[in-house]
Amino acid sequence: MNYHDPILREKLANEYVLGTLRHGAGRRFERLMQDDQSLRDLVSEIASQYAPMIELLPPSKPDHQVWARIEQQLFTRSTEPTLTLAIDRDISNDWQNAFFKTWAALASIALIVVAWQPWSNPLIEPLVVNTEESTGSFIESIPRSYAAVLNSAETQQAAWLLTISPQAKNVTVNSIQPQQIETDRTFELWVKVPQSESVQSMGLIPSNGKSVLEIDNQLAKIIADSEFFGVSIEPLGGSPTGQPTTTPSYIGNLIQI
Amino acid sequence: MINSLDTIELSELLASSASGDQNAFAKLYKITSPYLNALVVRVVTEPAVAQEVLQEAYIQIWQQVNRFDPARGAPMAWLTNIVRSRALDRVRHEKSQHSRVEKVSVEPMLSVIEDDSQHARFSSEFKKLAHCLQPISTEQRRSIVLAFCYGLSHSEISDKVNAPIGTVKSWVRRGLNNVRKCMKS
Repeated sequence: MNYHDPILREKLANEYVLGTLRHGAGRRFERLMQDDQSLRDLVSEIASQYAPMIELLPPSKPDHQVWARIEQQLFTRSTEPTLTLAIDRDISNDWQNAFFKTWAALASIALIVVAWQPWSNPLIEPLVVNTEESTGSFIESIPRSYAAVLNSAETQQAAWLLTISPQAKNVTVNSIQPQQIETDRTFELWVKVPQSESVQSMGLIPSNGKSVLEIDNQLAKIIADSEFFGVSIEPLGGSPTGQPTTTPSYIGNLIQI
Repeated sequence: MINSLDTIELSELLASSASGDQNAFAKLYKITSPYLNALVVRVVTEPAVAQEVLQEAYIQIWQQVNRFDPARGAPMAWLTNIVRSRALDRVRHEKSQHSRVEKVSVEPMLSVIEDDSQHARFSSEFKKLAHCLQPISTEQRRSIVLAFCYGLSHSEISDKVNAPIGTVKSWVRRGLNNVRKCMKS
């Protein structure tokens, strides 16, 4: 074959993009592309033309486990913080109610324990208090930083410190002391939605060390107005239902700093 | 629909991912995975296998993200190409595709392509493609959609539409050629 023939090149590129080249021909074409930039450009151009066809397919969110496995495979060996994907979740009223009953019962304990001084722990960096007047958008109009200490519902021992920076759109989670958890389980952080009996996931948090969770404007507003945080123990990858599947093992409330 | 996928935003997320920004990659996954998953589950009909394929594809995307060049193609096209290639590789290794072919239903998609009044919610790129798919024969159009959205080979399309494989190859070749001419015009 004369692979310099523009008609043949276009024919092969068309069929390659469509996926109708036979297996061997497809592999030969890929080898050809390796040393032929103009052929790669042609394939990219044709692929761009046909890619919009996926708009015909109704979007379908993959199972939570897919991201959990990607994250585990790519990132967990690095020193970077564990990432959490904010996936829209379905509401399960049964679990939600069970979660809240325990949460309400433990709330008064949290109010007492929050007086604990996290700065006494050398692992935790001092928090910066920003006293500047804030103006402009919502994200600038709310206080600059918050903190919350999450305490064990069983022992009242402090477990994590949350440092919330709405402007930076993140929540830093510092482990105060390592928490024991089964290898097929993970900790998931929730925030109570104000004037509501629902909770929203903020993501998975590590049993030890530090991680940073992304928050969007909507979640930042919920956090700013919220009263309580809770941590439940969930299967790897997070709650499969989108709501806590266990009562909170750790709770805390927000203080403005 | 994919109107919500901002090409500039996707390009920026790919660029950030290329510099090692894991948060950008997580966001890229969140935005694009519902669309790419929809494609994978049609090509690879076994749910557990489809999950594996999607996982492998995103790992490949992370590993090769520095190869993406916005000057050489749209980000969604680049992502789609990787995911489709992964899915096609997987199904081509299966011995029998009979059950997969049986599950395919392409008529609703053809209906959308053929009816301009249904295009309002789609991207301008889709409208252009649909415009170029409309003038070709129904058989050519059906063959192209079966191949792209379901990853069917010539022989599988032949089984599906009950036509000789040589005829199907001709439909595909002519259809692609005509669409290409239209897209370049």
